[in-house]
Amino acid sequence: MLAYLSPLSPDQLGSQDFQDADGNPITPDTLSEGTGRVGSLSGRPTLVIKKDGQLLGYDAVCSHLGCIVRWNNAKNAIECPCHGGVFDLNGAVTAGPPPSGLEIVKIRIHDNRIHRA
Amino acid sequence: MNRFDPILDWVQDRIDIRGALAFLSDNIRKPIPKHANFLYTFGSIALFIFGLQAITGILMLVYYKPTVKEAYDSVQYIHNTVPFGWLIRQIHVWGANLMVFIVFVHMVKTFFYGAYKKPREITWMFGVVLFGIVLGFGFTGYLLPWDQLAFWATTVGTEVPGSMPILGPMIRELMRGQADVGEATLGRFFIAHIIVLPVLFIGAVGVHLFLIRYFGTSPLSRTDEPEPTKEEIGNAGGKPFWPNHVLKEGVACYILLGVVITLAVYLPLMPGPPADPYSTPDGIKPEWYFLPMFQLLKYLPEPIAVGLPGLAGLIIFLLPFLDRSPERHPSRRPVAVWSGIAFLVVTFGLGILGGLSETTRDIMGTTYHFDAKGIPHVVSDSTSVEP
Repeated sequence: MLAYLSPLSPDQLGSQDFQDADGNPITPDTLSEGTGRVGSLSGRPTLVIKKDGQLLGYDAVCSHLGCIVRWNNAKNAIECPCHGGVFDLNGAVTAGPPPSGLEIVKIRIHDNRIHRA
Repeated sequence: MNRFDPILDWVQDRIDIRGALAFLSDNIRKPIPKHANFLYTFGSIALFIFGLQAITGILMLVYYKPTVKEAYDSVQYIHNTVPFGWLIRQIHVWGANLMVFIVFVHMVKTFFYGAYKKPREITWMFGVVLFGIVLGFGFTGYLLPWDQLAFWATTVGTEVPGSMPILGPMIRELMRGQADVGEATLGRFFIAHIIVLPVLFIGAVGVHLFLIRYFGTSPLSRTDEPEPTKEEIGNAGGKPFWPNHVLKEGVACYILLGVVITLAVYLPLMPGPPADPYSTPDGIKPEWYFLPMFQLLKYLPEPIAVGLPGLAGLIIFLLPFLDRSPERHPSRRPVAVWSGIAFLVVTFGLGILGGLSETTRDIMGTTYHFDAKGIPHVVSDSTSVEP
């Protein structure tokens, strides 16, 4: 019974491409400098930021209560809209209640698609 | 002889239907004590509103589609296109809110009148379980429209048990059916809402009602004194359950129906924008009855903020065994009564802070912004916030 009700693994659920909620690929050329975009990568919500020409990936789920973080370019910080958690570009908590930082997701670009490295 | 006698005779030849009817007739005429005021109708109106929820819920099932791609649009279709769909849905939405309120008031009344004490301990415990099931209805039903608020309230709501040690992550994943709230979660919540919880509710209500009729309405006398007999209750001014108390309950149900329809028509609760799993809106909040726990999460570390309501729930469930005083009358139970009042004040206080948090309001000519912890700050202009 437990096995039947247990979740499927991300590989069974999610695409290996970085994609939006409708399953369309988010390609590197759609990300402009200083912006961040949240999509799904291997079944996990992932934040990809374009900063100084580099693409940086983070697990987008706040470690506090599971809200999705967003990139604030003006403050050079990743913020959680729920309870004010703030993270730096290393994923470390700099303010607010999150008990731990954001996991950094290593990404690579292949055939104009964003993948997990 | 009446026209049903031939049918009754036919059945009587096979089972003792007349004996059963005589027992039923005797039972429903048991007198209700004189102190049973209008608060004693809240159990019945809770059952009435459950019936209303079942009818409107079944009607919505005709059109609702429990998939991520179709749920939101199907709710819009019910509301905007189906004849009287808006009314059916609004009655269901308001009925859900009122059901929580009514069951809560019913429990509070039972507490203050000491009706959870011997020999009605099991009746109380089934009542607490029923309240839990009603909250479960609210929690699972909230997600079904698949709008932004529902999605994120469910994300936070399913994250909360995940913070419990050992079993927490497993419970969270069993609830969600996947790592994050999604298609599997919607399916599970839908099944829980329309099958699992109704079956549990009906079973628990059956036991609860049987025990209520079996023991009769709780007196206000001490538990170590013999309970008054039917004759004594009648002589002290008590009235029969049928037809006197049933009439009172009928009037209460009629008023409630009017309240539900009025709220449905004049204060419709509409879904927000469709769920976007990759964008958390600002200021998300759960339904009002989860606000106290939601607010507690902002003040205390997760395991404590989750553990405290869990401990409170356990204490409430085991109350008949913890409060061993033989007194039932509230005026002779000051410690229990003041503890109950303190609990209500803290719960309502947290709920109000939760409701105010992350909002901006004009109060007596001054504009305040309430931060996440509910602390007000005077707003000097539209862009800056000063303490």
